[in-house]
Amino acid sequence: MDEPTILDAQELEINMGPQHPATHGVLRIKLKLDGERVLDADCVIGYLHRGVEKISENRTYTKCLPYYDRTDYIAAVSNALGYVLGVEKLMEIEVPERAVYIRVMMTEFNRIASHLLWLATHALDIGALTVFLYCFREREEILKLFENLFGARLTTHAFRIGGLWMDLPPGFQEAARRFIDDFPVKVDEYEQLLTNNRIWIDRTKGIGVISGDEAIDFGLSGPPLRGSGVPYDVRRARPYGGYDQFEFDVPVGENCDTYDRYLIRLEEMRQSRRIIQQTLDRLPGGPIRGKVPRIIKPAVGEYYSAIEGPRGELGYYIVSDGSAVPFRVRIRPPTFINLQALKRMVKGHLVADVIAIIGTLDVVLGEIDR
Amino acid sequence: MSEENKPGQPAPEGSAIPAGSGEAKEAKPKPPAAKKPPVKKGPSYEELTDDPLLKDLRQRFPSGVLSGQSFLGQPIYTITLDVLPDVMLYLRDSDEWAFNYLVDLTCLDYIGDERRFCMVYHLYSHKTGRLIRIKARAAVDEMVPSMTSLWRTADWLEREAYDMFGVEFSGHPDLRRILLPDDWLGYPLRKDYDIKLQDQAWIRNHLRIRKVPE
Repeated sequence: MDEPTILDAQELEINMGPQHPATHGVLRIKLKLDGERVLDADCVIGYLHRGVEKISENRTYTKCLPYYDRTDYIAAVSNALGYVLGVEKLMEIEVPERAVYIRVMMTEFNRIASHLLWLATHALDIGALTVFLYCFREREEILKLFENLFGARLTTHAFRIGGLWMDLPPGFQEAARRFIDDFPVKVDEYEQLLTNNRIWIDRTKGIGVISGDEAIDFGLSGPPLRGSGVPYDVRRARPYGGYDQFEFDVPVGENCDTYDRYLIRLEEMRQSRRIIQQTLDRLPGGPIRGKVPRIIKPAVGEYYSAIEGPRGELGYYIVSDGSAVPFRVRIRPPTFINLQALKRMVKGHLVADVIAIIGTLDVVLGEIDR
Repeated sequence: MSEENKPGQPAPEGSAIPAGSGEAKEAKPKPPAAKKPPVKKGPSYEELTDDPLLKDLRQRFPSGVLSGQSFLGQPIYTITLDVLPDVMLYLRDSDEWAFNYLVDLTCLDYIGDERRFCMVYHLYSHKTGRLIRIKARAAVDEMVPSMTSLWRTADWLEREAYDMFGVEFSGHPDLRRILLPDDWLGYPLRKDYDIKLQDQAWIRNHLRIRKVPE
């Protein structure tokens, strides 16, 4: 009776990735399976490691900046903001109001672009192709704005220490306004496709549940933390870069699952649009760059500059030894820390749900591996 | 590298060029010279004097707390390595402070110092909204107590510190490299690891590159 037969279930170990379209880069997960159920998961990362922190110790403060575009390449503008704010604090540089507003505006555009890419690929992974095409349609408009202002679409090198490189080009404000006027209708379109879609609900409700306390224990930040009911947003908790001048809401989830995190990101896009509207309405005139010394040489000291990136708390811990080269720049990568919770979140789910959970964590391997 | 840059700094203050360029102009450079006294020195470390958390820690761990400073408004508490687990446990669980969120864990390498590594912990409290920094120095052969039993965040962060600095953590359940290959030699973020230095043998064997550029 107890004789093993060919149908007896055995634990099976398989590799998901590194070359797998749904792992958003080169994430490899060693899955331990019992049939279709996941017993355990172990992430293998580092395939994209380029040693950005080591490079930073060998470049001047200004020359470090372009490298941070290439960590989280979906949110290059946010990355630049975090670092630039930190160096400005250390150098005690005053940034003119106009530059502050433009920075907030572009960072929020970046948040929308990043969330659009997330929604597109997340829906595509789960099987909804149409959303992908819709999202890329809007993302393209934002990338055109980036190209107009920064001269690049992806690796933007957006901000400079002390302000901006260039003022807004002619026609920029009109184009930005046109985008945000149209955008709410577009978000409603995504909602029409997904929010009440039965397949979408079946695939996301109750998947990857993680309670608020556990989320804090795992150090989650960004939408995964807020999806678990913790209203922690760095823009609110420790306002930086002029964010205290703008009104916006911080959406919080209740059910701690993939579906709630989806709703939160959609709401965040609407809130970002609200912030952009305010920056455009109140955009002050004046210079775009403060007084910056020729050589950036902060006094001996350290500063932890954190911002709320699209994926969570992005921190730069900059330590200066008084020379023109940073002693250490530690990047606190939000997705590296968020990905740690994957092991816990996939347990007991089906293999197909692993894809949904990778999607809901919104990983970018360039930042995880740095 | 920093040595090369040093001569560049005094240039804005020095008045070597106007002084040598003629008597007539000598009257003009004088007014800026009068403005000199408020020399911008930049921010500096300040001792925390009236900080309730520092007082509380000093009372509970009299020998363990070395200093309390603040830089640009961010408080820094330096403690000894042996009280680190107790201090962290206290900070996390006390009702008053409730630092329930480990924001970041990293390491600094002060090469040449007796206690070479400086462990840096950023803690945040969702209850009070405070962010603090805890520092503890460790020697190369010293084991740093692991924080994995307090916060699960620490798992990968400690693996990264081990990977990049070679800091060993006692009590970590799964201490192995995370970003670099398992059989890599050396710890890249140490200050004596040159940026051009690579594990030549590893590259030759795994990437089939016969001649690795020096």
